Amino acid sequence: MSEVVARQLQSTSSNIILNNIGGILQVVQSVKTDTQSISGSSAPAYGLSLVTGLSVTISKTSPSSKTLVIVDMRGAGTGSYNRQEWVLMRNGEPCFIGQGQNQVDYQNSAVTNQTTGRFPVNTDATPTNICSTGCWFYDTEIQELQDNITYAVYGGDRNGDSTVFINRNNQGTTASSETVCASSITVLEIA
Amino acid sequence: MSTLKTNKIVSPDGRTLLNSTGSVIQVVSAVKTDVFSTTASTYTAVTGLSASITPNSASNKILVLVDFAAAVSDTHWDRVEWALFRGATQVYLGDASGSAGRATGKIPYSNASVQFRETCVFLDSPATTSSTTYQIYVRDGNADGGTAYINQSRNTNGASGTLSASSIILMEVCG
Repeated sequence: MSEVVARQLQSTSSNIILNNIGGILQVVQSVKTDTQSISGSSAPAYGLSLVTGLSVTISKTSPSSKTLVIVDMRGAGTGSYNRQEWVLMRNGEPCFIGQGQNQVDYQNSAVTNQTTGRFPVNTDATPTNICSTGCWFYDTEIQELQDNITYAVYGGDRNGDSTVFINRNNQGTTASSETVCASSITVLEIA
Repeated sequence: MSTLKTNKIVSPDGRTLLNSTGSVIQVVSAVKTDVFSTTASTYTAVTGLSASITPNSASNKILVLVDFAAAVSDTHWDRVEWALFRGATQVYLGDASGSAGRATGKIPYSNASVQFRETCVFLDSPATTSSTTYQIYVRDGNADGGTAYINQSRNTNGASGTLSASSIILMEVCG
């Protein structure tokens, strides 16, 4: 294998075409095309459950590299006062959530409302809605990590009395009034 | 023109700066600023929300990023869906399930004249070196007269109307 060692490459007109930092080195993606429903009772301790298929693992070429994580997801909630939330996790720990007075504790998650996002409410007037949601997260806190970094989306109803629906509405998945959608999680390694 | 041939470029401290797989070597984009609407029951191309790219190698991948503004007509049972197409082929869609529609996403309904942002992030493997076009299509999947509105709210007249912009970006990733 041939290899060039350089800090920077320039074109013959002196434009920088490769820099010491900032280049994209690797792109990995997982796509979820099936549907999933996560009820309050199925989410551990009224916390969150893995959205199956929306996880991806990357091994960086260098410990100093950063990652850009992009979640592109579709789903639905139910009633007005239900907390149908989702969280981006890195190696099983939340990595992109809001501040809160309480620590994230998935064994006692009724006390936390720290989240990455929340599915919009579906009301009686909008029972078949499916909404797009997602995030862009530039992860700079992984310099000690290099191999097998797993990013995953977890979802659920944080107050445990309803259901979160992924890639579908809250009515069903087979009738002609319904739609089955797709979602993805993408990670880019940045030098 | 000079060309440097190598499989990898590393920094003096050993960090990879460019790989023969994974690096982005081309970006193209298109921005749509006008409005579009349709009541078609079959997938119909949204004019201007498309971009074409010619991969340098058949093993390279295309990262497709789409961000557009949308709304639907005032009938909440409409199944107004949108889809990503590569040429004439629908990609990045949900699994088959009974009589349900298969789409990338569905434009939500609201009883107010609002507008939603729809997004799409998909890493495709087109396996070609020919010019390849990616485009967003929309339809009212259950054909009951629902309307899809792109870059506008349901109403465009008066104080409740909104006009927006959308874009599609294609990145070629070395395979």
